[in-house]
Amino acid sequence: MRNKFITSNLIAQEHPSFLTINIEKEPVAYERPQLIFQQTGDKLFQSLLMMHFQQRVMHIASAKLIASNLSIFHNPVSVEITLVTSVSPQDVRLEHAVKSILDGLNNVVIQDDTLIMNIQIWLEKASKSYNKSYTIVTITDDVSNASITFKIDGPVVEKVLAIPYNIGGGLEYAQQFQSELSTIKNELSLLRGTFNTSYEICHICFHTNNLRKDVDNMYLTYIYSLRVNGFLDTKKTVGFGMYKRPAINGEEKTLINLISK
Amino acid sequence: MAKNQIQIRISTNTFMVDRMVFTNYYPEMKGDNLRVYLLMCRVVGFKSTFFMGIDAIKKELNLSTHYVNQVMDFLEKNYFIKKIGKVGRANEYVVITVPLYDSSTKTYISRESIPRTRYNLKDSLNGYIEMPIEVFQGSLLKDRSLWTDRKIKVLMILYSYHYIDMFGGIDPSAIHGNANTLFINEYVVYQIGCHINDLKRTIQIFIRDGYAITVKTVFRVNVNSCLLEKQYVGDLTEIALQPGDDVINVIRMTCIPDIKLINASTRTQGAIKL
Repeated sequence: MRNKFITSNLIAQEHPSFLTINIEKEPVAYERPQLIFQQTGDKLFQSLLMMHFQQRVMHIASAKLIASNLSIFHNPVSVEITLVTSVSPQDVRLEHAVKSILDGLNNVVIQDDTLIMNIQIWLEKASKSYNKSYTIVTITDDVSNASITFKIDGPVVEKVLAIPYNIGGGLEYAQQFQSELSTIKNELSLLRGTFNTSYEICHICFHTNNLRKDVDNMYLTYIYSLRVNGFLDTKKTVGFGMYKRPAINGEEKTLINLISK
Repeated sequence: MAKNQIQIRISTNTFMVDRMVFTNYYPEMKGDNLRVYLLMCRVVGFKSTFFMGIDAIKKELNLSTHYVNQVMDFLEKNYFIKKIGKVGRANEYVVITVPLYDSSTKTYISRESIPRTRYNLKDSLNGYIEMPIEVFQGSLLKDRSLWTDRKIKVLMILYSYHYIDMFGGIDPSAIHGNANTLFINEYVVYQIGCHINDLKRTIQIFIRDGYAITVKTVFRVNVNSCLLEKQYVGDLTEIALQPGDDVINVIRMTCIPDIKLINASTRTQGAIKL
């Protein structure tokens, strides 16, 4: 028997190897926490390891762009990432790997993060004999079909949130975002009574009335809420897909598709 | 040198080196290419242009005329430096923002259009390190048996993760521990491009020779932050431990720019032993 769960703005349906969740509301994008005491001279401090990694990403991608006779991507784009590593899937956060790589491309290779309409990231195990980590990234212009593919050798340094510089420096999430996030978390936790399977692949399509929202930031909100409610099999997670589509007022929604391998 | 005799040396002059130079990114940035480039970075650090004669470079680096010319050609052809004129008989050069490197075609791509100033490189992804000039005095660029490529690159990597005010030394998420039990992040190992054991040995030599020391530091939860991160609050000898504190062996370089020392003392309210 196939389980179904319906509330006023949410429909979830279980199938033999996948689960669909449809939330009929404007998607919520993740908002970074902000400094509280900025006026007293506090500042944000970025992870040095991450900055080193992003500098390399920027260098490799920019070189590829110029060597391919292309200029900065300025149309809507799709990004596909294959992350090959010997690290166990439960020690990888694919959404943070995406974020770290995209930060290295923003403004230099892709004119603006908001242009990114589709992202897929796949995790693959490094071969036993070679046993080296690397990442392959393809960026495609959705209008002209022009594309570049480049390889980043070495491990990925995932996105780490910036922290306050001052000792005791305050940092907090905006209240509105916090309450929106807990609403989503609670809604998804209600589903756990009906559905108890965990999945390895998660595609989410965001129909938004505001295309200025970054697709990866919307994904962060929902993947976090799915994770804390046990919808992901963290030991086997292999692939994430994030998609952004325009929606007119009243037709905004978030379509979540959880799949077993 | 006995451990208790190691003093922090205050550096009053630094020079910029782009972070990509001392990683495995440019396959040809090694040997004499690396040394001549670093010499030029050091000289332009306070003179803004480089106009040392060939003889002076030869003497400084212990190289033959033939090699000096060859290296200068390499650096100029691949957009690390640019000839802008002549001073007497010597060519005058500027160091420009490091090039891009496309590994599939093995070509260097100029980024001369990005001004190589602290202001322009900061806040973009063009990170650089501030290398104390005092560290480069003596035989560092001249004596190839004492100062191998790896040793020079590791020294610079250590400085690139050295943030005395924020961590009391090198960022412990990159490297921490003492001479016998060193933790090194796998990304740092990749950046250098050698085996982790060779990297450990090189760091141990720096500690042995007094270029770095290990210091017990106190990291405390920041209760005012929603991330509850642990922050460096001072050295163990200078601060009272509280329940929940972590004591971490941080690696501290012994030659530190004066401005960074002032920042560290200000941030920790004097709880750093210098």
